Amino acid sequence: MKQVQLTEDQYEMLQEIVNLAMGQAGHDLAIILKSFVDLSVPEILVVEAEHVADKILQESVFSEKEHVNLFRQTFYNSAFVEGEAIVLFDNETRQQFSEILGLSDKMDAVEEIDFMLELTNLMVGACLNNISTQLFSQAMTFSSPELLSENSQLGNIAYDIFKRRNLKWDYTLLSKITFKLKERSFKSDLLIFISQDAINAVGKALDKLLAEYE
Amino acid sequence: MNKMIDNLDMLYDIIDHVNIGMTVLDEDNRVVFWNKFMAKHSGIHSSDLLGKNLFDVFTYLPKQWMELKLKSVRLIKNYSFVSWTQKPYLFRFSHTSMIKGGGVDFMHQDCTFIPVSNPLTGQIYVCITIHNMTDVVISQMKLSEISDINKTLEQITNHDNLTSLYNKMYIESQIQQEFNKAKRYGNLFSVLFFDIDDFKGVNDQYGHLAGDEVLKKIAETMKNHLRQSDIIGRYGGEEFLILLPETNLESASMLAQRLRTTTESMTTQYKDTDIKVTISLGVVQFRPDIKNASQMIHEADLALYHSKKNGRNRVTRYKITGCAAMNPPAQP
Repeated sequence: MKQVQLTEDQYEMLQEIVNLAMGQAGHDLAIILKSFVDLSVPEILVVEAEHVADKILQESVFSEKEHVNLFRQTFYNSAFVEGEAIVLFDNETRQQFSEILGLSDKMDAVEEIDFMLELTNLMVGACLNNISTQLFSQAMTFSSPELLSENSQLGNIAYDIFKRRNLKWDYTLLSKITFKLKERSFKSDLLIFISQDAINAVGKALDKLLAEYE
Repeated sequence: MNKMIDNLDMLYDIIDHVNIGMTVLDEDNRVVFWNKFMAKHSGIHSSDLLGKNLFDVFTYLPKQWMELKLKSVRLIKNYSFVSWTQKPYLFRFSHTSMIKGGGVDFMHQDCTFIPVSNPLTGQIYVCITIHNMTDVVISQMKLSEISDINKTLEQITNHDNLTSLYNKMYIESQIQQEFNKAKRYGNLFSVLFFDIDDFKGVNDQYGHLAGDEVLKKIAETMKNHLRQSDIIGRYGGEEFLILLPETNLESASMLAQRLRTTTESMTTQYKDTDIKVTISLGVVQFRPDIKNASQMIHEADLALYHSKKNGRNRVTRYKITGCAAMNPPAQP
């Protein structure tokens, strides 16, 4: 198996670009959600497929015992970057939606799912479009967001979904961003996975940018 | 643009004829494009609609909700989606088939909102595409009926209908219980995960009924080789989990090897053909540092994955230091 790795320079550049993109994404989301959005500094790492489940448990803002709702959305651009984003909301956050939106009635379960799908789309779109624009000067194309799992313990679902044999890539570039809304108990994780080939495409784009800076 | 399609009329023609609904709205939600699909299903021709506000013509559309969606698409230049699973349809289009499906009155739709900017004016338009999902909806309704019945049956019996082994839910709960016991009292136990090599090939070559026969035969063979206290369950498709109480890694691996060689020499008769299959196995023993039963199953699965990757028909033991293959099968 070929080892996939980014150089230290490439990592630094990528971190810089993702930070910039997150700033823009936070701004975009704040307009839509009418609240200040706090995004964590993204952590970026190349992960071997065997360790994906463990890494997710290690990196998530949620503990293994917590019950979460999982959504996913795939994306690609014409620079052969393809990948998948996973968004997690805990049940506590789910209870807060009516309040966040200033609704007088409590949402029913279908409306809650609907809203989480919309949020997934917003978070994934804002973050990835900004990253893709910075790196490749083009927007991403997205599939529709889907519900992967509802109200399941993170520990169980992570091992179930990210079984080694279920993953088609040997390596993935994993990036984790935690979302928080100011003055609300809103917590959500966005995990971005890109394919092995995409890591190389990203590496190339980074080298181009690095050359421009020198 | 590509030489083939340098004629814009041609491109326009393609978009007009494609079997997907497509409309484009300007910044005031006036219709600037309306393809044939939309015209056919709405009964309104493009020429009668262009320049008019979409919501003035289709007064049944959820205006407030859609305007918000359109606004956010323009504002952050992001896609937006409406799935039939959430909202069955946006436009009230009728069924395309003359045969009405049970309980489906309108065409079910998956809609995508795409921001499109006009490089000349800087205006942001929104393109809405409509996919007809009605057939998917109808077949899914039928499927879910069947799977509901299956689920009820499995819940009542704890058994898998085809192989009459325990089902996923039951074997998982048994491993969970054994895991809890081991955590508390320090008993020893092992978990064995296996699946049939290239089972897809069997199905493709001999058909699904033959595949079912193989599954039944494997289930029967395994049961004959396990002790009374061992519990075997069908985990999914061609995957099986075995719980081995009071068994260490060494004995579990020996059993795994035995199951492997037995399967290797076994034949399934289906009609006039003899079908031969092999299995790949992964073994893991309980350790106090494993956090929960899911992790343990995951580790067994990892070991199984190594068996597959190293050429199938073999046993791999999970170790913290890395998966260790047991002596590979003798080459024929």
